[in-house]
Amino acid sequence: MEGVILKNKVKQKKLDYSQEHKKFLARHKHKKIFILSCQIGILVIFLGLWEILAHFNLINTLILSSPSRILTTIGALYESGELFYHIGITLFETLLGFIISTVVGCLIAILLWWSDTLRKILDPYIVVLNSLPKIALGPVIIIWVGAGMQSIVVICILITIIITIISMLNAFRECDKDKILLMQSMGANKFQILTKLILPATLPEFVSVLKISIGMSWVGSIIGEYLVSSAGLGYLIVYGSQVFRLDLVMASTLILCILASIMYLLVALLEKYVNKKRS
Amino acid sequence: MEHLLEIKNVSLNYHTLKDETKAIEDISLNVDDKEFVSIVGPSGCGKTTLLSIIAGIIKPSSGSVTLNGKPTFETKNKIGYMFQRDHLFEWRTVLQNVKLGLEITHNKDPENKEYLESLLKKYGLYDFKDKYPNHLSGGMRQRVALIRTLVLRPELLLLDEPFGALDYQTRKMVIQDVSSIIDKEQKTSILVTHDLGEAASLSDRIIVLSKRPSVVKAEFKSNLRKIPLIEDRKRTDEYQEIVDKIWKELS
Repeated sequence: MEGVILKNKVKQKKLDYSQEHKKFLARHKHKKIFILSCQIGILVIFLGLWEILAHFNLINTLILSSPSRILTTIGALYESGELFYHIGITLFETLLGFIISTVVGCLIAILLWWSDTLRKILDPYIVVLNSLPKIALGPVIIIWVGAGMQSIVVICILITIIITIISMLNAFRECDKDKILLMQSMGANKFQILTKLILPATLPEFVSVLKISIGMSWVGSIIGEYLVSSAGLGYLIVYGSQVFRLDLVMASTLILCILASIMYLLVALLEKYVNKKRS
Repeated sequence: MEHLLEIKNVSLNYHTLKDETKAIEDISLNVDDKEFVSIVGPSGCGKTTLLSIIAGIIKPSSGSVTLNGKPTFETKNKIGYMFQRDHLFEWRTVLQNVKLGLEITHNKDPENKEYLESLLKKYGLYDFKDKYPNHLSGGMRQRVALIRTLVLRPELLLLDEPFGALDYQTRKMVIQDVSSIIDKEQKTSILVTHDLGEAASLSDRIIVLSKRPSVVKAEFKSNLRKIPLIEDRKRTDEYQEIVDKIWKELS
């Protein structure tokens, strides 16, 4: 009831905005359109210039390829049925690595929050693991878990999980001490403090960690495929460069670009939803 | 005579790696049922620490605190705690916030749910029960926080500068609000504050603590609680007298 009245009020307000406010809104809209057209313009000019230079043989298409050749390559990949096969494999590795490192990473963060002593004991190890370029462990991992998809997923987890642990642990530890005191005064035990306070309070941080870790997972799976693979987008890139088919390299990179953006966008949408619910 | 709360020879030492500090030297204090006691003292004299000891969250180095004859660290949820900030959980609605204590104590008694709803109704929050704290004013938020503690039917309320974070106008309103709710629900309360006027106008008894290591330096009684409006209390001579006396003790 109250909500309906409120909505009507808002509607009514929109109708009798002052001239000044309407001008303000129009200015805002114009600026938005200008920015969007510049963004599209840059892309169109870049691609157009690239295509024209390639068309008149002003650049070496063997090395630099061209937009039309990239599209033709993607078309050919699609025709042969390889396109979704390679996309599927990389996507699977990335998502598996992302999910495992998020779940396990959060569990470890909870464990370290729970026991201060354990956190202090493991602290130097985490610092070292964080600063180590995880990719250096690649060859060892391949030998240990075997050459194949399992290695790629492990590399992916290794790259992603540390950042999840560190970020989530920090978020947990920054939770308001007085809120914990309040729960204690009501007789809450540690598990209740965790489930009723710490976890819901750090949901926004969790979602922003997802944003970082999904990107890290892509890095992990592609680098993993560079090291050891027989399929996937990373494989296509390495293979293409080895046989000097730059069309294939560029095409795979473009697909990768689109996929990563879509995934990032999904997480960003989730973040927007969570933040909207909070305010 | 039996007192509701008995604090006997409590002392507390702080331990850090560098040093050991005596925060509370020796405090003995009794609070009777339905009494409103204020504790004032210079800043850093360990007022908040004393409240945490009373609440049973910190164990004193020596001495004992008993509520109805039982040590308070065994009977935690008999004591309600109110803080400077309301600490409502933003992800919970007003109703869910108020229910927090019942959830923690696993109390699913329908009678408690009724009590909770009656409190919300009585203090004008029932229409806002499905709203999130962000949509409430500072005064309403503090009222929700008070109801959240009242739901657990505490035998003792601890108020740790609950008005400190509010702006002047809201503060005046919330003090009146909280004080009349406490009167109506007949709760025994201990208020920690650095505002002498607040202490003098709200309580039956004012305890003045010395600076660290703190002891009870003086104690004043007040009859102002009989007057319903706090504004009126502040216009009496007795009010001025008490404030002057506390001020002298502190300076």
